[in-house]
Amino acid sequence: MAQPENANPLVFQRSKERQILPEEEDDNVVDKIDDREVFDLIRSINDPEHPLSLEELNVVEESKVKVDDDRNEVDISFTPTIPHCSMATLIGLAIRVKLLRTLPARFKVQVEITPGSHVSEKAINKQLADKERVAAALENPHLLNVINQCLGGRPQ
Amino acid sequence: MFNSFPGGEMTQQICNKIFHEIQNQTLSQKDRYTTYSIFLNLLTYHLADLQPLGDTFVCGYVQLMDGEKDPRNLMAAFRCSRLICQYFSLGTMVEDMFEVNACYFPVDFVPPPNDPHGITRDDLRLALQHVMSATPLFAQYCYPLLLEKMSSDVQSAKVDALKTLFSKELQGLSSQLKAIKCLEKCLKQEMASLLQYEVRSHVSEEIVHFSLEAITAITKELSKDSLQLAAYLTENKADIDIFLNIKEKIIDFCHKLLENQNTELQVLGIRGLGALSLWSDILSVQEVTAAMEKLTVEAVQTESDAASVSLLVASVVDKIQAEHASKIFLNILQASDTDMLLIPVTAALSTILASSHLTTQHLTVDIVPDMLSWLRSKCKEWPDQKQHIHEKVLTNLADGLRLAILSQDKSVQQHLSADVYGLVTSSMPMLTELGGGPCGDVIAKDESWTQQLLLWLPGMALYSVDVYTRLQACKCEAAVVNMMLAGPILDGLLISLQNKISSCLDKGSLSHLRSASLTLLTWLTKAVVVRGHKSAFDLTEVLLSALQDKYLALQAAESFNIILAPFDDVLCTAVQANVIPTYQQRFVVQTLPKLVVGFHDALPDNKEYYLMAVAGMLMNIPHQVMTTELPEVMPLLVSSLKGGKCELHKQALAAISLGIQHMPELLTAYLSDILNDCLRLAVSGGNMKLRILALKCLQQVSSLPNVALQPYKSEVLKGVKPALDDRKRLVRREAMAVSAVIIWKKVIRFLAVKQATSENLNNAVLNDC
Repeated sequence: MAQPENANPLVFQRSKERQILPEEEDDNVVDKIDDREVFDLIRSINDPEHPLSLEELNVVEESKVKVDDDRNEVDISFTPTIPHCSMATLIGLAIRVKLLRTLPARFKVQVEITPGSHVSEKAINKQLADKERVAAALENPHLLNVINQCLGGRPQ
Repeated sequence: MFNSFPGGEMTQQICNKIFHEIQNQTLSQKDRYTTYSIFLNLLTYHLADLQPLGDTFVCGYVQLMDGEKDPRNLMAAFRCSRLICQYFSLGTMVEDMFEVNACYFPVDFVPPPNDPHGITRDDLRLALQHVMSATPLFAQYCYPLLLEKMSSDVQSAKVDALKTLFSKELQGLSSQLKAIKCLEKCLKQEMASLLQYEVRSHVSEEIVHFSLEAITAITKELSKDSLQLAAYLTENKADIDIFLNIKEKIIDFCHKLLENQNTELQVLGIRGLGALSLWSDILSVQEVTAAMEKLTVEAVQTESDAASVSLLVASVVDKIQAEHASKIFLNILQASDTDMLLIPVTAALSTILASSHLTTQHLTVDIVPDMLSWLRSKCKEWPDQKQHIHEKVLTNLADGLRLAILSQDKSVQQHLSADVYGLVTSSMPMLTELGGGPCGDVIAKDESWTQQLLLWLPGMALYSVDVYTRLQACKCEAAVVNMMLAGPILDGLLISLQNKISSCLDKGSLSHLRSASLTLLTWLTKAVVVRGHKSAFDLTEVLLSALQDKYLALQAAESFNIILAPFDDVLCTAVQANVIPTYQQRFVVQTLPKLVVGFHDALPDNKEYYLMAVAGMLMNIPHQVMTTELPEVMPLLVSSLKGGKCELHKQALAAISLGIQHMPELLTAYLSDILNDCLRLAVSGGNMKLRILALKCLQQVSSLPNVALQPYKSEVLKGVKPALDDRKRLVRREAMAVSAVIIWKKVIRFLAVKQATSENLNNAVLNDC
């Protein structure tokens, strides 16, 4: 593999496992899908270049995951480690695919770059929002393989 | 260069020349450094040649070093000083030598920006500290200096002083007993008031921390020679008052720390007290006891958890001798009127007993007899219906005793066990906890004890009003039966017990008596199964028949687990019970088929209990037994996923999971059934625990590298979808994991196929060419 663009990224601490509350163990209470739950789904995704998770690189943060269970909306902003990172699209795609595989189908998911954190922010957001382009990208075996590597590997 | 250096006379000549001809202070930094280097080399390689110079050398060096300012040179100078202090008798030069070095204390040095030499303030402080602690002779000057600096307004000076005081190397306090007056000043006037002020006002955590470390270090230093100190005190009566004063200050201070909200300070307080208790020759027993009691009380109030108290105590025990600590705790135990302290103190005793720091002598002469006599007197006061506190106390002591006894030699074990059983048999109704303990052969050998126990135990096991006492009696009875010599006496006893139990189990009996007799039956069965006695067969039959009884079935089902599960307090090899190695296998081979038959014959409502019994047994058997038995049981487990009740499903799923772990190959035949049933339960299982278990089972199946799974993947993905939107988060988590792993594997397979086809294509193209 070629030298990573950002050879020495800042590494952040992983957050603790979510604490299980008593009402979560009560079968009669309905637990809504919330920000943390979706964050937990994407935080362990591997970075394509480094042996670190997106959370450890601070690419995804809990505060930038917004979930509205009633309106079936999930809104995620992610922050590439450097403004000209060529992996940004791939990371966005990996987040999308992970949620596609694990969230109930009723959710409309929007994945965008944190405003001001990437030079070609607009173009990438457009690509990630275009369903057909996402579908087409997943037809590409090479790309699919890379994304699968991002999503697998580490125990969840 | 020094290899060819002749040494001897020459060494002394060099020194004398330097001392007379060179005025070090007028030289440049570099040249002064050379001077120190010469001395450092001579001191390192030609020490013996220098030593005859004695005072002359020391005096010369002191003059040479006086006024040095450069940190690089000081590092070298301090090293020379240390060597000189260590290897020369300083004679009349003690004070000069101390002064010329100590004038740098506390080190005040800020490295310049872009410092190329890398010497830090801490390096200098450490080097200086080494000098100050190089000889006990410095103690008389060192302590006053440190004390003076401690009352300084400069924070760093205070910390440095405390750090130096705390330094383990600082010595000589005990050999220079006159320094006790310094200690008095230190603690009475300066330190104690200072510390109290600091703690109260939270000025600096660092200072408080190091103060305590310093106290601990001093206390330890003193306690090394506590006898000498005591002798000194008797000779110099005037100092006794001072000393007592100090002592009180420290105790008082430690107590104040314990009351503090900050846990770290509390721990420091505990350590301080721990160090204090080393002063056993100086502190009165009452004082140490009071300190320990305080410690325990505080720990109880702040932590309210016996386990953490005993942990705390155990961490102190590292520092103070176990022997001493155990005595203290026994004293507290004997003196305490309230029940509040009983649990933590017994827990602490148990920890100490288990730590195996105790000597055999101490154990046999003091601790065990004292504990037993305390128990003997105490248990008479307790009510028939034991409260939680009494149960806990007895369990603590029983655990401690067992572990302590087991750590001893065989003969000591016999001796101590005999003591324990002596007490158990004489104070029977109360102390059954102790009966299951080690060396049952002691009982077996003494017929009168056996008789006595067997007279008491069944009655207690069946009729005691207290559940806990009943259980302990059952365990004790089991231990006795397990150890008794085989023969007509044992056979007769078992027959009479079985008759008694059968009559109590009868439907006409009171419900709690039926339940109690089933517990006794369980433990008796365990006792004979473990030793491989022939009566195991009959007793198991009685247990099996209890599974048909609506009221007893649940308890009976659980008893199969109890029989096979290892216990560490009774009926195991650790307590030298009569155990044959293959008892689990034998029991399973004998019983499992009967359970399977029973399952098929049972009424629908009762089937789950048979399954529970099967699952309970599977949990406890070795892998090789599992592999022979599992194929037989699997159809039963799988079929029970179909209809039936929630509890039954849970048991079946738990057992199936176990099966998948041990024999994934067995799965293939049932794969379709298991997947379908799990999916159904995962989505519509009435209970969230059940849904989670079903999904876990699916995860296990889907992460197996199993070709057979391939055709079902899409089905599972589709089936698990509703569970992704389950109302419970914990269920969703498991469902999402199932979905993620299956798609992930699907993609890998898809890619592999794709690659294979493209390779085929390439090959085809190549062939065409």
